[in-house]
Amino acid sequence: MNVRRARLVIFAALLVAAGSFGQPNGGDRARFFATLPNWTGYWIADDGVMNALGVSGRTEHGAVDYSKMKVNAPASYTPEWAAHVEAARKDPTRELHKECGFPFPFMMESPWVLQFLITPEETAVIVAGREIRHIYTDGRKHPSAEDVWPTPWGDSVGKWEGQELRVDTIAVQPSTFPPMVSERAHFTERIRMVSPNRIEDELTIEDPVALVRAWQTTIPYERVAGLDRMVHGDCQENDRNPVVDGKLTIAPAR
Amino acid sequence: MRAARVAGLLAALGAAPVFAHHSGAMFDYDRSVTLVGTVKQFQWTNPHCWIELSVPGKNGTVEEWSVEMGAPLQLYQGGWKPGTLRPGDEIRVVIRPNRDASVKAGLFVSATGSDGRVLGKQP
Repeated sequence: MNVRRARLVIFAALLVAAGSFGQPNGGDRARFFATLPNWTGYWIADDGVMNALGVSGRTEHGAVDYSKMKVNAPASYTPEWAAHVEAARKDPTRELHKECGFPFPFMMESPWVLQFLITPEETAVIVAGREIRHIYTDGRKHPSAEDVWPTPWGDSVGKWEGQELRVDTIAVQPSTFPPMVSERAHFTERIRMVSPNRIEDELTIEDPVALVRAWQTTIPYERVAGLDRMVHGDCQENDRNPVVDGKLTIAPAR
Repeated sequence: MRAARVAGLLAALGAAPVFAHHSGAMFDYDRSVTLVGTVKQFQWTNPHCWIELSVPGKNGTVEEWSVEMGAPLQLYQGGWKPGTLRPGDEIRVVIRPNRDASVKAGLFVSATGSDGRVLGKQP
């Protein structure tokens, strides 16, 4: 057992001793904190899609190769769920839908930069679109069945295995964002820094309703150069894209 | 099982998400229009920044065009700042126009100042 692993075990024992939501204080916390990786900075999915958008927020030619997206990797759906996905794809109102934030796991590969804010008790994934995931690493388990309900970002608990954050997520509301899975989906992630300017999130989904077999992808992130602070977006401040006569359009300046 | 796999594959590729605040289907990506005019207003706002441009038209008229850009963070990452454009600036803007020609608007592609300098960070 190396020193870092030994510290982790000691920290975990302290958490248990303090109760599920207890916090070790002082030197123990500081020593454990010092063992955690430094992922400060801002990151964007290095998928050739999200890190290729221009200042228009789109590509110059409008054509985006969606198949490059890691969260849009083909899934082995059950026949019933494949029909459900196909119906969503053909929904004629889809083009009229306006986004006001992205759900998990799509938020991990969105057009926005994101940051990993690491503390001993939790790692927060903060996206510029104002989506936030709280990944609790204080030793707690998921809430009991009567205390948890589906949300767009689910309930996440994690633990550090050396410099790798292992995350377990449940209770994610189904959405039409890829990968389309059911409320029964169980997500596991292994997030690690593979080089000073690169982080990878290996994501696996198991879903007894939607998937014939586990779905897996790896989302790589590159460090965003020249950005020294988080600047959040907002979908309502000056929305000039109303739907008129069943079509999205552009309204004059107010 | 094979049928399920194929259906799943098609579904995944077809479930194209809307990346930005809204679909970009309203823009004609096969055409580009170059607007030369005077900045009336530069809206540094979410979810989109906008250039309001007064463009001389035929017979001495002036057309008011709206140019849609990304969110402030996306512009900032691209080298733009709230003060990059000011009312009265003469600029040339290339856009992908709205498919509905009655809407004087389009999607930003590039812009140059009156001195010929391309605005924003260069690749």
